[in-house]
Amino acid sequence: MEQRSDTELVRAVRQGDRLAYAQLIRRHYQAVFLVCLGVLGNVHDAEDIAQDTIIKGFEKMGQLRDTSQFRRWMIRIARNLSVNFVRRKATAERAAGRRTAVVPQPEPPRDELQQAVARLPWDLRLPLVMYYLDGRSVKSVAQTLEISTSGVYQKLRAALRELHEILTAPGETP
Amino acid sequence: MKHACQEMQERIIDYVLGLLDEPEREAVSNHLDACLQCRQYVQALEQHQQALGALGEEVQAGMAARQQRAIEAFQAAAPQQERAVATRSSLGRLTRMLVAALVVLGVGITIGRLTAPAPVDVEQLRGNLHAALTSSLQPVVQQAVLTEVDRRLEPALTAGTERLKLEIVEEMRQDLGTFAADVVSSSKQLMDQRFGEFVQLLEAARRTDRQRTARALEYIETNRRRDKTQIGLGLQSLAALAKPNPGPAEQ
Repeated sequence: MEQRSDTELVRAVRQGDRLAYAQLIRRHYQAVFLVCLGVLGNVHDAEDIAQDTIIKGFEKMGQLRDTSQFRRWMIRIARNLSVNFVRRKATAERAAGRRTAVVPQPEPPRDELQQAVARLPWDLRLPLVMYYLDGRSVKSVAQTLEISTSGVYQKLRAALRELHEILTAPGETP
Repeated sequence: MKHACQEMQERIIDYVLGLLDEPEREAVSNHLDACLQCRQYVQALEQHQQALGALGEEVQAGMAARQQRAIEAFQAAAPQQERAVATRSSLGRLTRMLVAALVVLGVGITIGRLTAPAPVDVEQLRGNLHAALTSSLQPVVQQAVLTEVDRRLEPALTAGTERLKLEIVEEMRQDLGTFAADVVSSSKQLMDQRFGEFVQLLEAARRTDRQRTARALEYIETNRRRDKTQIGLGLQSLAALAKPNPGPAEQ
């Protein structure tokens, strides 16, 4: 069977076809999830926010102007929701008088690397996750994040340097 | 672990990321051959990269399950949309049934008209009926209409008269007020004018009196001078008369 384009699927969703939306989710879930993971730093929160992104995308489908840009539009929603989530949690923790972690984690990561990745600032972690965990090219990361390729390289350099410092800091477990 | 050379760190990261061109890459390689700390730095960065790749594979491995959970959660979160689609389908079936019923009805009416007996002269019947109804009902209807019009107009006229009276009284009151204000204003102006004229008259009279007084004083002065002159002349004459005549011896 010939695969329908994003534009055709979006039109079908607008006419009430939920199965078409399920197809769109299958096609783009990974990108959405990894963006959430990149910003949030842990799988548990990333899965929750990816879920919120999917529901929000469905609710706001009428606002998508260029139907061929569905993927980029969803990634933007995912990033905004994730950043808002990080900010809300940080504000709540400050209000509670606790020490604010770079990224709060409801469940401890399984190894040092995951913890170190989780401690990176989200604007460095996001390109790192997209490049290494999703295996995307620098050009693709640049298009998704809407920055230049040199900007992506800059962030990857900084992320690697900081990751190394976290992992090799004396007497500190990440 | 000792730190890598400070000035080389940026280039080493680019080396690991594969961003250097051949001459730069060769220069870094030469440095690495000679510097243990930088070699260890490169080794550590490459390990991080490999670990990140492995982490990516781990994350990817759970992706299908996560995706399935996401789809199920979405379907559970928006069941009303499906109901809306189902409602649209039901409406479609209902519309089709309605169209079929209308077609059957139309065919039935057409057949009925074609098979019916010839009609009576409907126009003639309608004319007669209209004339009979008109002649019998027209006077009654006219009278009823007039009565109804009177009944409805009477209260309206009464109310209108009262309203008109009030309006006239109000208008007269306003006119009188305006008239009084005008009169007061005119009187004031007239009094001012008359007073001005009176002051002018007084001033003119005072001026006339002053002129007359001046003329009288001038006349008195003239008389006084003339009298003085005459008295002088009289005294001279008197003096001449009183002077003694010289004797012959003196001659």
